[in-house]
Order: sequence, then C-alpha cells, then structure tokens
Amino acid sequence: MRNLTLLFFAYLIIWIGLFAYLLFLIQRGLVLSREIAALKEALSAGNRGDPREGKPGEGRPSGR
Amino acid sequence: MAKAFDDRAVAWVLFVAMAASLYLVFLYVPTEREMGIIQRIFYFHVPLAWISFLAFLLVCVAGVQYLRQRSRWWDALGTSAAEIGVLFSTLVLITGSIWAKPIWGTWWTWEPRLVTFLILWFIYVGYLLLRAAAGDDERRARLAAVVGIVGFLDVPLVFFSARLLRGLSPVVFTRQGAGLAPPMLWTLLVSLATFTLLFVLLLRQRLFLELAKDEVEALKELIP
Repeated sequence: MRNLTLLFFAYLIIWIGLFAYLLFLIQRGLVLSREIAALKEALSAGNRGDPREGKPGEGRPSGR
Repeated sequence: MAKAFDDRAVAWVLFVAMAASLYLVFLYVPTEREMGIIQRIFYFHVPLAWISFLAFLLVCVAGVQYLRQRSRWWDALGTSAAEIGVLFSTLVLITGSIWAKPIWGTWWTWEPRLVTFLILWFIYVGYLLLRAAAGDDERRARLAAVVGIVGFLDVPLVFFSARLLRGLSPVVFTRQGAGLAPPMLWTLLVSLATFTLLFVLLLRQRLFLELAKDEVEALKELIP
C-alpha cells in the first residue's frame, strides 16, 4: 500500500510538472503576442509620423 | 505573422484527461500478478516512449523538409519537437530505472534496448547543444537538420532491439497481439491519448514561441 501511495505521488508530481510547463508556454506565448502587437502599433505610429516631432505624415517611410 | 494559440481551454480538457488517467491507473486497473504494483509505471513509461519516437520522427521529417525548402517554419518545428522529445525521453529513462530496480534488482543494465535508447537520448541532446552552439542561423539549421535525420535511424534499432536481440526488456506488442487484459489495454490507450494531447499542445505552443521570437526581433530591428 505504501508503494502504491509513493508511486501515485510520483505520477502526480510529474503530471503537475508537465502541466505547469504547458501553462508556462501558453503564458509566455500570450506575452509575446502582446509584445508583437505593441511593436506593430509602435511601428505604424512611426510610419504615420510622431505628432510631437513633426507634422503627420513626416515619419519614416513605410516598407523599410 | 506567427499565429498565437490560446490553448487555455484545451489545457483544462487535458487536466480532466490527466485525472481520468490517474483514476484508471491507480483505482481501476487490476494489479499485475508477477510484478505487482510497480507494473503500473508501465502506463506512464510506454506512452512517454511512443511520444518520444513520434517527436523524433517529426524532427526527421522537419529536417528533410528544411533541406528541401530552406523554410524557417520547418527548422522551428524541428527544434520544438526535439526539445519536447528530449524532455519525454528523459522521463522514459527515469521511469524505466524506477521500474528496473525492484524487477531486475538494478537501476541500470547494459541491455540492448536500454543502450540503444540511451544513444537516442544522447543524439537529441547533442542536437539541442548543436543548435545552441553552431554559428549563423542558416548553417546551424542545416547541421541540425542533418543530425535530426541521421539520429532518427536509431529509433527502429530501439524498437527492434528487444525483439531481435533477446534482451531483458519485456515485449508487450507482438504479432500475436497485445499480451494485456482488456482493462490494462484500455488504461494504456487512455494514457496514450492523454500524453498525445499533451504533446500536441506543447508542440503548438513551443512552435509559436520559436516563430514569435523571430518576429519580435525582426520588428525591433525596424523600430529606431
């Protein structure tokens, strides 16, 4: 009975570890998605021109 | 653009499958007569080994496709599958040793299947080290593809070693069928399905991360 309990907890620990790894990857993926969206936003704002630096449309040309 | 997979809902499906698998392994399936309780490790060890082979098959296919098309997507798939394959095969070696101690009286023995599997593990650990060490992206991807393809040649050796070389490892599936009682077979199949789902989810997420990192770097270069 003691061996069965030990084996059960060994199983459980490995499953929890693998599941935590999956959740970590999902979380990291969502963070990177947000980072990509923010970078694209910054890039398109740069292409439109930053109003603090000049008139709209005077930013860097797109398609660089 | 790399497409994000929000797998949080599917992850909970996996969680339920894991719980079902634990129930079957510890409460449903009968204890094997000769080996006793330790035999239950089989429902964990065998699916892990099969999924490792599947992962290494993917590394091989991705390597072939990379050499044909020189596409970053295939290279990223190879890396992702190799990482998960090494993780799973490490667990195979650990669970195998835990099983071997009470059954064979030793944690390790130089038996054909164990040796060929250990070689397989070293090959793909080497693959990951190569990826971390080799020079520019193109050269690294090319070398990794070749190692991934050549390394896969060891998988049939692992599979057939126990059948042809008469080692100590038990052979469950033979031409006569599975030497398992129906409850044991069902438990094994549910465990295999659970691990397959885990593998698919891990691979999708890992592949997305690999491609997303490239995209972040490319975007950062565009922004002054």
